Amino acid sequence: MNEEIISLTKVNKYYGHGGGRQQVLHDLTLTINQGDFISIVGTSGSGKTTLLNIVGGLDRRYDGTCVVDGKQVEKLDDKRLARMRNETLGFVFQSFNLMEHLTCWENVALSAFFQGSNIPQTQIYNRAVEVLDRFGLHDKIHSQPANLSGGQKQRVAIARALYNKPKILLCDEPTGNLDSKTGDDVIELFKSLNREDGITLLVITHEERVSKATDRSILLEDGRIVSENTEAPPVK
Amino acid sequence: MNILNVIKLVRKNISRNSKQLLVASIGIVIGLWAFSLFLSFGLGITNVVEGEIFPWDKIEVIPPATNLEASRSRTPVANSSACDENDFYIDGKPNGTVNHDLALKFHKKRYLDNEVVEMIRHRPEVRTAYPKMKFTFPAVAEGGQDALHLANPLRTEIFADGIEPGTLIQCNEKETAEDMERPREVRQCDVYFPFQFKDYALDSDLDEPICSTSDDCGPGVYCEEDDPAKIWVFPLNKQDVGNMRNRYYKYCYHAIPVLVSTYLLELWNGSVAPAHGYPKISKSTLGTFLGLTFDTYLGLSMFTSKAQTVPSITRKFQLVGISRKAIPLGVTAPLSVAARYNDYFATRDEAGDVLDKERPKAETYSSIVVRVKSKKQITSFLAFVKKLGFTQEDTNAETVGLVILFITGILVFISFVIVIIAAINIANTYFMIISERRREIGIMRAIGANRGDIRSIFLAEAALLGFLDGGLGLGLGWLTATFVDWVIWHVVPEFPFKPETAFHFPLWLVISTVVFGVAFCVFGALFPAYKAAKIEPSEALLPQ
Repeated sequence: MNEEIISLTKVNKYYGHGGGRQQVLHDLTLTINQGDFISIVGTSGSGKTTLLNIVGGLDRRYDGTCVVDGKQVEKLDDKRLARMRNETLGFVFQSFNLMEHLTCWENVALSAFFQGSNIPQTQIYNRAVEVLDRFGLHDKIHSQPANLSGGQKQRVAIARALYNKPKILLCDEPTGNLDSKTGDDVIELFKSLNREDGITLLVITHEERVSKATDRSILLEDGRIVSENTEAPPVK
Repeated sequence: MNILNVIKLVRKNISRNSKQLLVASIGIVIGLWAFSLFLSFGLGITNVVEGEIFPWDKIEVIPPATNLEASRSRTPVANSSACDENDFYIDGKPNGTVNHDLALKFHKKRYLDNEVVEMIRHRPEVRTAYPKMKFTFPAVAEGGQDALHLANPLRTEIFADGIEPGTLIQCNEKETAEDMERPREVRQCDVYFPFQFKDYALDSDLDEPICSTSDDCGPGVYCEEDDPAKIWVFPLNKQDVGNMRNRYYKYCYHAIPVLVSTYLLELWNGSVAPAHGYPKISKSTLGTFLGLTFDTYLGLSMFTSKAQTVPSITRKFQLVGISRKAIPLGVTAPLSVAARYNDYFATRDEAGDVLDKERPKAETYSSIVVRVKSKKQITSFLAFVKKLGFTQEDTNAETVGLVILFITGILVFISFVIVIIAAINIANTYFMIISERRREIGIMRAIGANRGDIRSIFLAEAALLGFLDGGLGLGLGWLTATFVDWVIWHVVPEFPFKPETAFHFPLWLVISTVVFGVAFCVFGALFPAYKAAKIEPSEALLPQ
């Protein structure tokens, strides 16, 4: 049996104050094991991104418990949380979120910039090239993101997420801005990362083809898990 | 976060926002330009005032009363408690030997003599000390028609004093043209080759033949009427002084060497020469004026007809150098010359002895010029001078220094106001930049940047910007200073103490301008950077 890597227990999340306060997650309890490839589906406002932010340590204003790789997120101070995001987690966003003024390799190596230890510049560069190579972007190493296609940009974003060999990859609508062919390529990439590298993937999507590609799909409605299926759940 | 990586990111960020930051930097650059320019101007002027007009380290110790008669008072200047024993240690060393004789004497007199000079020289604060003796009789100088190309000789009342030749630097080699071009403050010569600053009358073996014209005497020696004061060097009989003058013969005498001050030279070039159409004395024409001789009527005055009790003496004075040690308005002769003529002109009793009240004129000094080692030691030295019952010549240097300090202070304050306003502008720009980079902040947080990293990036960016602004402000300040100096030299007419440069950029000013640039930019970016670091990553990543 695989080891538990993400565990949420009775997580409640609210937005706003006073009368306008709105609950986004309701007593959400979820366990994800190492090596899982999971999709979270649901309509807009169902709490998918909020859930991802909590797991990724990007949002700590919630009630309940969130344990990631054995660390209780809400108890980590800013530095430890940043280190966890740097070493354990990788993020892939729908809009790629690349730094337009940096080259591809600099974008990929950005997480190395925030590591505490003094890593030699050549080592940083070599690792960035290695990751970009893996995704067929060898000729784009010194290109600016503005000169890349959407698929290439997303591959650079994935390369950046994988730079530090994370245990968990958190993806928020990774194929949302891609055409179907490129989207399929990205899905295949995720599959290989999961199978070959043993990376745990948590993908938020409302695309059926993505959820179908995952091992387990969780349907979120109004901040509650309404179904959990090893088969692809119906996407609304 | 690795410093190299911070620099890499910061460099990229600055080049990305270069236009915004350039506009925001204008204020900082202007402020620092004004700061470096105003402060360097204040320092430059202070240098001129303290170095040329009122040297900061120069203290002129004088007797408490200007009337020498009063200084002859026999009353103790201080009771024994006013001076503590430490003041009388030889060499100023606390564990040195106390010179009790010296100490006792200082409780009994109020005039400056050799013992006081020695006493002052042994003070730990003192670098050098030399006495001066003013001529206590009137004198009129006449001459200069050849050097100044005048129809008639220039005639003027002169003031004079004497200093020990040993305190001067007498150059025994001819200065090269290069030496002459060096700024006055680094030129070492007080007396120029081939002249000597000495009292020729003290050369006991000097042969002074009888002559009828100067042609009989040889170079540098002039045929003049008998100088009766000369016998004071070898006092035989002081009675009937007036009759001792040999009215029948002339003798070959060396001209009495004199110095003029740099101050007088400045006054001549700045005021006298332009007003009367006389030629200026520049570095290149200085040689023409050196060696200039003029007749001096000792004991005569253009202002008063009060007759001296002894006949006046006519001697040739010869200009042998330009020195800061010379009397500001007048000429400076060797000390023994001053002493001899002071003694000659002192009022005597019927027996031919100098009256008691007149004695200090020839026996004591009018002042002792002291150079202290550092500014910090001025106070303690002046306290010592006060304890002895003496005072210092008021040069108004303190007042002038305060005025310069005040004006510089106001100008520096104005530049600071400019920089502070500019820092607010920087803050405003950074708020805008942070708003623009909000999503980037989120990305960096997501991939492992902590709050400190975000803060560091913005502060380092501001620091680098401040460094560039500081350098630019300083560079512009220096360029402006160079231009102003050029204008002063090439456009502005001559004026006394026209400086070689009106500005002074010491290393600390260079460093502090850059440091202020960094500090104010960091100050401006401080609040925005803290605000940026506080942004929650999940909020920063929200679509805008």
